[in-house]
Amino acid sequence: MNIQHELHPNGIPVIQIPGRLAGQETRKIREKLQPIINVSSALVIDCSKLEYIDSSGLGVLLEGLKLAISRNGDLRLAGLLAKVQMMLEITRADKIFKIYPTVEEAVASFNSNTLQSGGM
Amino acid sequence: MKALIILREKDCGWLREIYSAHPSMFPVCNKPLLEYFIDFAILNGCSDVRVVFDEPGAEIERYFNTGSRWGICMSYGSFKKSDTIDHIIEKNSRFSQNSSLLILDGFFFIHYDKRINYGNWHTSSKSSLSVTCQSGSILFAGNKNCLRNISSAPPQVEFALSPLESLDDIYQIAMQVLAAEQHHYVLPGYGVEKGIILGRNVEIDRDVTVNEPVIVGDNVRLSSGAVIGPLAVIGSNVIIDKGTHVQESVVVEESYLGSDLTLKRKVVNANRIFSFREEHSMVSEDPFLFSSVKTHIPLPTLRRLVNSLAALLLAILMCIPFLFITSWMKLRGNVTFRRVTYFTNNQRETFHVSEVVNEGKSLAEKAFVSLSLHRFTLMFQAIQGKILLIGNRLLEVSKKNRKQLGDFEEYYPGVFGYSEADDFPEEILEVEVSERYYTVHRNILQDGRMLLKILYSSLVTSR
Repeated sequence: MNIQHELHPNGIPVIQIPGRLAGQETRKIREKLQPIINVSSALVIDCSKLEYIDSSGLGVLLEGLKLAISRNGDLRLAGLLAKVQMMLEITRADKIFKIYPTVEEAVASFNSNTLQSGGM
Repeated sequence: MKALIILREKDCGWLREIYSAHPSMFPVCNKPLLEYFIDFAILNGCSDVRVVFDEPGAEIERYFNTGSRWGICMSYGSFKKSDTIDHIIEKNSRFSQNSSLLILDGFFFIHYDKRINYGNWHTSSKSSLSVTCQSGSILFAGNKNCLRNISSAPPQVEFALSPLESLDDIYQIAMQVLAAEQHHYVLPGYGVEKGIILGRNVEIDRDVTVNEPVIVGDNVRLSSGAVIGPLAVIGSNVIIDKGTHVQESVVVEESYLGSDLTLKRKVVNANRIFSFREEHSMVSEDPFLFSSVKTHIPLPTLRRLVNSLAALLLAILMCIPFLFITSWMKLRGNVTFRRVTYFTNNQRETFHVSEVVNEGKSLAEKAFVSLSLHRFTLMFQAIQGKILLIGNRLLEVSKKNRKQLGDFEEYYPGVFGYSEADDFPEEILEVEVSERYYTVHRNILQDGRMLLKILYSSLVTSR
């Protein structure tokens, strides 16, 4: 899994997870998320290339969200493919995460509310 | 009158991708599609029914057998894919002889009403009559020569055909039958309340909510907090785990649905989920969410025997290394035993055991752990059958653990824990999920595989 991590011009980290977020593959994203959230607790996960997610994948995202919230931030999802969206709906995770159609909208949502990014 | 049911692979083959048995056995409100054909033939006064197919239909023959359950005589035949209806009728001329024939040709659903007498709709006509839809037709032929002169049945016939060309068609029909046509058909189960039909051996926990209309098959378990309906079809041999909501959905037989899920406008067949609002499907590889329920005869006595024998064998193998290494550690003065009390089950029964306290610092201590010798004293509990060789994590007697076991009825601890085989870090959600899953789905072969995996990883990681 080639996880891409870049900083949006607005200062929000955007992490793109391609392929599958399931089983053993979740370890990589778990290892990657924690240091990013330690630096910036407001972040966006770009799911536009994420094709499959299972309960362990959702668990990792939830861990990230919990950590981000504990640091007064948030972890938001963007660009979900239909199957991943369906999985989130079935597991009720869509009620927990803030989900946006595009990365731009997800990033903009941070700017339009009181959350700040960077070192929170 | 006799009935000839023609099942062509070209009409129903699309369903094979998602259903392993013959497509005509796919259940609509827990009743095979073909059984609606049979019921309709009976309502038309047929006492002899022949089912012919161009692909083997062993499940059909097994299910309907001689037809005695329906009070009719059933027989089966085959035809070539290239055969026309004339060829098929010709091939079955010994069956039809000179009696009038009701031919159900294609893959469709018949909307009829069991309270109506269908014995007369065709008798007044001199020619053959047909009722058609895009995926098939019902033909009435006074005799085989009548097929050259077919006319449409009068519009006032009190039945209609719906084509079945996609799973969406089947889903829509199931919802329609459940919502408005329940009384038109003989559906399996008994009505406990208006709009609620339950099969045999349905286990419903105390706080399950059932909102009519709902139909539930045989051997179903609805766990606590589940909300079923309105408009839910739950097939036979289905387990719906705690807190899961099923609404406007169909759960096909032998499916397991994990806990705290929400299904709305979905069809679930084992680990395949079809959504009709967005018109797409998904295969879940996550057995904690969706999986197939394998129906097998439980062998608790055999399992207990295998468990005890395997524990005895392991204890014999561990005996010499245990004595040797503990003696060595004793000589070095770093062996202490502690007495621990564990829960045996969720009924709060307990057992005591002495365990070697091991800090894993010296070479001997490392070898002790890598050979799993720290579990040696537990083996005797497994030999006696008090605990399993592989099962749930052992929980020491404490207030917190007592509370945790409160809602874990199936808890059965083992010398080795299921979660160890999955190699999850301690104290995370997955450990509990994994344990609960394997508790429900355990079998001897899988237990053996998991035990070997734990022993191997213990050897490798402790090096």
